[in-house]
Amino acid sequence: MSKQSSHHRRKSEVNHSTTCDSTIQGEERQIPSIDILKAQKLDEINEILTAPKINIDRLREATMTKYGLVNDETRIKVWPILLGIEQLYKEEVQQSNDYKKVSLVNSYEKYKSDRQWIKYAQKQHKDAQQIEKDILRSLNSFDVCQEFTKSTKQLKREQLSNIITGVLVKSTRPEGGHPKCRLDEDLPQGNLHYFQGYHDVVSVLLLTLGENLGFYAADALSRTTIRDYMLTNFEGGVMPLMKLLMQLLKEMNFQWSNASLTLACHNHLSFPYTSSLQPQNQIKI
Amino acid sequence: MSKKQFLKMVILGDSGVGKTTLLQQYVTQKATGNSKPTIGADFQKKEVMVDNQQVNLQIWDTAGQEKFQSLGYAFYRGADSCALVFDITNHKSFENLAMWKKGFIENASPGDVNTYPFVVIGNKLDKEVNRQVTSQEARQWCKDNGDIPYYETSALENISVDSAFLEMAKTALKRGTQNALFSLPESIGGAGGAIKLNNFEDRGGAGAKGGAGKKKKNGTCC
Repeated sequence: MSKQSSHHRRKSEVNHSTTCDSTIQGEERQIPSIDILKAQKLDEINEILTAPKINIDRLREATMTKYGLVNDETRIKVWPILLGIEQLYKEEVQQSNDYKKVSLVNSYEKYKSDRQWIKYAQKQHKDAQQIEKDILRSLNSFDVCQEFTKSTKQLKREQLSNIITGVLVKSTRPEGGHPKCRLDEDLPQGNLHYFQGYHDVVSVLLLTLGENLGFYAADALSRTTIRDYMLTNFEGGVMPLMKLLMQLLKEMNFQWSNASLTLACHNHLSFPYTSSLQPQNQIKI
Repeated sequence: MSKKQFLKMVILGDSGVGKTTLLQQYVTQKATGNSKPTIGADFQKKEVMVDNQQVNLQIWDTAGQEKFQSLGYAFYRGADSCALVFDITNHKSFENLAMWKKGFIENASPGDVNTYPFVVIGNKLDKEVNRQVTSQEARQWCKDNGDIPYYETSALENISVDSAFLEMAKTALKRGTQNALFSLPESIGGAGGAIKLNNFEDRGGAGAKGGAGKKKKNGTCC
């Protein structure tokens, strides 16, 4: 066995995988297996994470290049960093038992512990009915949910509903603090509004990060990346974005631009192309 | 079997009334009742024979949430027929038919509204025990709104689904399609699944320029 292939074997053993068998007969060269490539990717990510100062740009790039973040273990480490909630979560974990401390840090734990109030918010929120309908149809198509028992799915759906309501209600107090208002009070209008499909986004966060961290991730994501979709309507954020997108495609002379323009006759069609999440693909990254 | 016809249809109605399941049942003869909420819009194609004529149906499924309606309007344009769907176990969804119809008329520019091929579908017949909208009530509404044909269906158990869609195709054909502008790929994201950009045939055919005349496709396909 050549030096190169023994190196591959050593590396693969470390990662509990096997080298690729697809050695072409008569050729010395061995194609690295997917496992090895993934291991290399993990090394690369770990190198970024263990550096004295984390290079966010490199980290972001790593999520988009081949194999993404490879596995959930890495996603749990990296997503909070990219969303800027890492510190928050660390503190949450440390202080979650001390409910006397009223601060944003443990607000989700507090919120979650008050079942009566959650039930109230889930009924009273202006998007409550729509959310309930979508929750009932949630978690059906993700591959990781296929093996869920009825009770597990039920539990996950409850958590999903908790997070969604939690984020929307929290947005009524954008400066932070406990989102709770009195039970006889009307919920004040928040600045984040539900849209169909949001539950899919949050599902991915819940399934990957768990309920607590999932809440903070959903909250951060809602206020930043997908904020345009969460305004009162689409006229304010989404429509202008679609127009901009078409213009950008044109400028880039992207072959797709012509195709989609011919196809759609109007730019709105690009909305489902760009915004609809394909859960199966999302989760398998 | 002279020429191929092309019809564009849209399905409208409140969230959760079963629009996606109806379409799924009609196109694939399978309905799990586990469909996801439709995001934006989605569409399916089906080839049927209507009165000895081969017809290509392009059926648009839309999102039920109010927030998506402004986007949905873009999909109404050029529709040859429109299904207004409600859930017989949900009276609110029945009351909203007027709103959906109005939105469609205002945005699809369907020409003569009185002869436009609407169909009203009361879905979820399999949940008869929970019925909140009587057939009589629904029929009366249809009568008052220009004698719209009314169908009660169960998308889940495949009751009357075919006949409802066939009715839409028939009345649309009678009226004559106005559609020569829309040309789209096989399927897009949303409830339907993966994005597929193919069907060059349709792009070439249906992309042909032209006004309100009937579209002939026999040049580019078959």
